[in-house]
Amino acid sequence: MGGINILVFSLFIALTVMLCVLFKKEHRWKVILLLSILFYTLLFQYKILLLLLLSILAFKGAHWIKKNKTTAYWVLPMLLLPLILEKMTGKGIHFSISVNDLTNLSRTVRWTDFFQVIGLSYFTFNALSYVIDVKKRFIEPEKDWARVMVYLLYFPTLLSGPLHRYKQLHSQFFDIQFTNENFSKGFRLILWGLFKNMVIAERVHFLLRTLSRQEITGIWALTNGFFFFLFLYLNFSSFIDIVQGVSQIFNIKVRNNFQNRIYLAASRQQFWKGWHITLNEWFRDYFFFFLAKYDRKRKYTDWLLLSTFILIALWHGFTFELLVWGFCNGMWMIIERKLKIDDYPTTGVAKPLRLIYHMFFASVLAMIFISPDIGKTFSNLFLKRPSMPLDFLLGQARNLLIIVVAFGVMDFHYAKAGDKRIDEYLGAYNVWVRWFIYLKLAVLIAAFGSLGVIANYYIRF
Amino acid sequence: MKSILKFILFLFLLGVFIAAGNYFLLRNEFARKNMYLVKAAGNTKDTSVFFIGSSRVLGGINDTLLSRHIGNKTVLNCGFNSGLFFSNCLLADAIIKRNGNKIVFIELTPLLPEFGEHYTVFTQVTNLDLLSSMVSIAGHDQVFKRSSFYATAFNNYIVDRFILDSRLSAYMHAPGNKLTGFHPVQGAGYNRTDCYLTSNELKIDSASDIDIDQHLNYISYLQQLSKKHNAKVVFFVPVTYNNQQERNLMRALYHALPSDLRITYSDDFLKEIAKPDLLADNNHLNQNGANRFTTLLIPIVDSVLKSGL
Repeated sequence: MGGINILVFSLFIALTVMLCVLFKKEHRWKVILLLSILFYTLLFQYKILLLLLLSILAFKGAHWIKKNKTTAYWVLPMLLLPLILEKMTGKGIHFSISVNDLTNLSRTVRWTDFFQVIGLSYFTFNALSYVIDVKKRFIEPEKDWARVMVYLLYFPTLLSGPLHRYKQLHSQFFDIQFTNENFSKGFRLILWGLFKNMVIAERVHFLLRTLSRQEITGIWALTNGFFFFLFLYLNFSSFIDIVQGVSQIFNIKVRNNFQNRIYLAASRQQFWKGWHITLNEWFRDYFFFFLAKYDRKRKYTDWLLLSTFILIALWHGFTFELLVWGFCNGMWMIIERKLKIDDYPTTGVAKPLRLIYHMFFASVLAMIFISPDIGKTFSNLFLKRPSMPLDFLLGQARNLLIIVVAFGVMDFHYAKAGDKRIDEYLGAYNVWVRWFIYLKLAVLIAAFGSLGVIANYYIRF
Repeated sequence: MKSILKFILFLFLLGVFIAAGNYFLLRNEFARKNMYLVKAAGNTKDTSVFFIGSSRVLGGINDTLLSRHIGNKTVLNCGFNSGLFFSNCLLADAIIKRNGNKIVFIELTPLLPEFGEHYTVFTQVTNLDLLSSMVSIAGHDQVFKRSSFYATAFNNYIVDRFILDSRLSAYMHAPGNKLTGFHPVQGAGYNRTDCYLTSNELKIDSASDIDIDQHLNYISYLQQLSKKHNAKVVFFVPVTYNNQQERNLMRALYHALPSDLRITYSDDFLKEIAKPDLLADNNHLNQNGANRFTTLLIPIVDSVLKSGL
């Protein structure tokens, strides 16, 4: 699984802060740009060239489109082409690869390897969004190529987002300042992210790896899906917390990508409003709404919804299993819309029932998402007698206990935080309570954390 | 700046907690129990036998049974859950440099810059200098080409030394406070035999484009090192696999090694072990499987011992 080396990342951030401090505020964005290029070059060497070429295309393309809108017919596909090539020619990122990742064993170099660039999809989506916004005249094309580059290559968000509109992010690069408040807020978010990532997500990942070696059948097989669903949330959202924290230190406010306690969603519609928010908004704004404007009578809304989910699935990878996953997600949304599920009661007994309803089907979909063979997965789930090796459960007792306790701690704070971001929530407490929470989280990381990298499953998408 | 000072205070408090935790968890009595394992093996005038590897070694090689059948020589199972080839080589390096005659059997597994469960705790309480081994081994490899690999390994090692989890779990769960040594797995949780290595796989090499250069660099280094320190290294491939990628890698390695550097499994050996009731899961032998595997290994280990260092 992809991840960032904690020591190297910490040193890199410290270096960036120190260098920024040496320069005046109006030049700090240039330091960020240079260090972003260095960061990516250190990680992926010559592949930075592809990103630099694409950023030139986005920059020039926006100007050409401003003069002549029809240029968009080739600029946009050209921007998208490397991503399509990456998806079509790569080995993909499947959970079975993630649990058995033996690093790249092949010595054969193919021409398509040039397109196997980590972070390419986030980069491409931001570049497309910039060019399309110019085309729609929401923004003016930028006169300075470097300013487009800093938006596209900003190192904390390059690897796995969250995605931003140019308008939301670029002005913040010119107001980089280091204040006590920004440091405090940033460290709070980083601490919170490390706690979720190293203590809970990594332990759930270990559990999943162990589960994948067992023959678990019948209804018990759903535990795979359930834990994967939790893992994905914890792993990805914690990475976003850290990205938000690092950015906050520079006075850059990065968007939320997950709603607090989204794992308790009562319906699929509610779930998609709070899950991977920036990606879903991207597809909504640049695909769904774009087509919906041609459907003035709203006759094809369901078809558009279905195609949007199929497209999201294909973004994850060109496989049959993901196609089924996208189709099922779309159909689930359509059925819920038809049945007006969100109008049903959400209090009293209905609350846990709706939670179980969503969690059950979300676990089934998560199983499809990670399934290497959909037929086998379904026969395992529905045709075989339920079985779960008792030895496995006993062997995982300590791990499960730590997961439950740490998850309880996380959920308790999210419940208290409501809709607030965790740094704002913690900041509202008095100093004693705040420090008690900091030390509690730090002690949990020191005592029960695992792995020396900030892991992120979505880094390769 | 106020927040930087607060951050330093925070790190100080955390440091105190970690230091206190380390002191409590690595008390002498706990360390002594583990120390005797390596000391016993290192100080003897007779030849000691070490098996270094992953959980497949930990649960698959009965060191007591093996010792009994090879003239009561000291046999130490140094298997660790999630132990991979890089950490196997570091441990081998540290063990080879100790006193005494040693035969070190090393499992061939994939190369990732990660350390197995209880691995760093074991090296810590037994005073095996992992950092110095890392420097030695990196010196025989293309460090700049693989800078990211070594940076990750160093990072993982440092983080592992700071995080108390491995020490805590070792203290609480290691059988008899012994961090390594045969740890059998009970039960039979897999009903097929498709996870076993087959004779055909050992006869035919896998695809030729698999990159095994780093493995071969380490093997060559350990071979040279063992000649200087009264030791002999022998490599062996696991008999069970749960993914094809690892199978292909192992086949490539097996065919790249000369026969005096590796264990060669006979057809009968593989036929004897390939039974579903000997499996704990799709990657590990259970207790019966371990006893069968160890029994089959006895003549092989015996012949390596007889051939001398």
